Amino acid sequence: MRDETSSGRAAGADLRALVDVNADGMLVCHPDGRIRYANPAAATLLGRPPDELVGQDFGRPLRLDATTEIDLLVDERLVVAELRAVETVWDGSPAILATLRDVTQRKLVESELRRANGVLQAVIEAAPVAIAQLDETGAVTSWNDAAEVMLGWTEEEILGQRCPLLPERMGIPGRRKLALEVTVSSRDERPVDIALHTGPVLDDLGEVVGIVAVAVDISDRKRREERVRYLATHDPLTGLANRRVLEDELGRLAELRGVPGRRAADGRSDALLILDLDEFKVVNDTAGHLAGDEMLAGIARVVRDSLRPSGLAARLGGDELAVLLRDVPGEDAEHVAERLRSRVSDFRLQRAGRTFSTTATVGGTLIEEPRDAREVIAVADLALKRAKRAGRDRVLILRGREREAIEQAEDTRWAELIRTALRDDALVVDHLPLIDLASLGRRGLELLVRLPEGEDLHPPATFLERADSVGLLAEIDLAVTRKAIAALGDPVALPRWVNLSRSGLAHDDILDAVAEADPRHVRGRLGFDIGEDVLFVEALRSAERLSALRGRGCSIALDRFTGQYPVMAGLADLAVDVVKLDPSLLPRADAGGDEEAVVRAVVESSRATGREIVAVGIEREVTRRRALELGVTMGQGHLWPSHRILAPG
Amino acid sequence: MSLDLRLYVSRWSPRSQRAIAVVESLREPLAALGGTCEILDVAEAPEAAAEDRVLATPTLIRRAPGPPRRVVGDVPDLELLLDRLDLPRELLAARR
Repeated sequence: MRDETSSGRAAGADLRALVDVNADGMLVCHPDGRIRYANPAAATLLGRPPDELVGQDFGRPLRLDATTEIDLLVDERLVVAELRAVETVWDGSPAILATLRDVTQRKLVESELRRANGVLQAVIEAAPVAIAQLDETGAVTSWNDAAEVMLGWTEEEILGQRCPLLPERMGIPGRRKLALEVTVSSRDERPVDIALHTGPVLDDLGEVVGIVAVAVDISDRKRREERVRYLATHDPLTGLANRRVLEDELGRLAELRGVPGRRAADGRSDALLILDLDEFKVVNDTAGHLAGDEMLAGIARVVRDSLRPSGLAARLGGDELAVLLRDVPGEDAEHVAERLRSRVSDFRLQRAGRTFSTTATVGGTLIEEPRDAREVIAVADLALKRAKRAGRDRVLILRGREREAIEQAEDTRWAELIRTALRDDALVVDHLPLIDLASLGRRGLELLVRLPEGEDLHPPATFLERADSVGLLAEIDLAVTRKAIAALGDPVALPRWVNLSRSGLAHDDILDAVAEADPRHVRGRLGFDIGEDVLFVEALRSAERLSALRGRGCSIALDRFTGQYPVMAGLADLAVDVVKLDPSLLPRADAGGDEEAVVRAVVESSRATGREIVAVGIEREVTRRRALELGVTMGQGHLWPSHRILAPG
Repeated sequence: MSLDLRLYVSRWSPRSQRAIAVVESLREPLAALGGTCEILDVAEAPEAAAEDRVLATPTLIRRAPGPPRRVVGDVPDLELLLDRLDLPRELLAARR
């Protein structure tokens, strides 16, 4: 007879109540596996009513206190359940309590997850591109076969190391998605050019828990590009630069030297030499063209080897070679020219048992002022012709007065060119956008004028000085101003900025043109860029004119601001709305220390007086960000190229 | 004694597959002792499953000799299996 105390009965009743409401199926079995009791959830899972289950042999679970999985077939539907059995006491006798939990959904999800992961792994392994997975510190956690082929490390070797697809000095990309071309090192320290893309792996909270890096080897493409670049800039026979490169370099120097403060120091200048082989035709005729080519190539080597790294050697064509000397003392041009003449004279070509040689004539000019490339070459060529006429195998360098005389002849030519262009309204105007550095929106357009000559377009640096010396600069400014005013007739046109020279500012015509224009077009929309040298030096004289322009609603920009003039006091007094920083200032700021402090002071004082700051010459994104960080609000440069309007007006 | 075992499975489930593998490995030793083991799929032999009152798979039933005994669930350990179903130890030895 069993002892049944009331508390025992109460405890039993509580237990039964718990079992009954449990969402999991619960079976109470005899130790031999026969069911004593089944809760409603178990009945559902097993697909039979509880009273049918009582007395049936469920079976003994093989292990107690362990979880196993079983399949249940309910109405043709397969259910996977987790079975867990424990020993217990039920109504006073030993029993086994078995819990059944439906895990079908979970199994499906797990299976799908495994399948999807399987697909992913298959893709990663089959991909012909290097794929690496990194943890958030940049260490490799997975490395596919293609990556091994590309760089040489096996997965075993590279696991846990910093991912070699990231170039050494690069920070860990983290959340940033990268897409760029870089050069990395392979295991055997070869440089490999790759296109690298990275992306973050985020957890449910949006935190970066890993990074995926994908890379393609672009070495072949790079090699091809390099080859194309080489062919475009070099003469294939001699390996020297070609004429195009020489002209571009002369143009670059002219722009550079045209900026105040960038002229070569006293007694120094650039120089162009042209070297012509006196007997070249003879060699070609007697020994054949191949021999002639060989001689030319050999002499080109001699010329190149005779120069310092700062010198540029080019082939102009035929048997003419050119040498550009940068920033050298005046006498150097003669010394170098003589050295070249002498070495060419000593050069010997052995061919078919015979020896060939030639002398050279060298003509040249010092480039003492910014000049157009074609013009410089023309003057050097003239010197060469004179030297040849005088007997060859000699050197003639034009400088000073003589050079000037020749250039004067050029001046006359320029004046004609400019007058014609003005008369025919043929000046070409480029519109350089003024960009808001934060929003990247266009805030205005600066008008830059170019002079056409045949197929060429001369940039401002080269022809404006000529225009000034022949007194036509003010007229050019006037023509551009008129174009700007005409364009502003369109109510949706962006504000226009016109570069105003000293003579332009002094000229009444420009004031008149502004005064005569419809104020609605001009007010707040027309601006003038005036150089710092003009504004500071001509300050008193200009004050009245500037005030007249501002009275009409025109804005004034201080151009090429270097801070070299007394800054603070002068700046505050100037009637200026915008300050355009000289391109030399941003690189100075990067030098840090005092230099950076100066630049920041300039920016601050400008801002404090309510002016906007513009940085010019921005060619790269990193410069834009630097400028923004320094407090500059607007920018111009090759990062945002200009566009051209070809139709007159 | 003639051992009569019957294994009920749901053929495509991994649990049933494992059980089948274990039972298959016992075939020879069983035959040596004059026993048999039948493997039935509940979907293909529903009448037998109903007659044997099979509630879940894999279920392994010892039908003879003696009163029927059954075990249910994954079959991890042969020794445990032999113990629960009271099967002769010789099966284990024979398998090795």
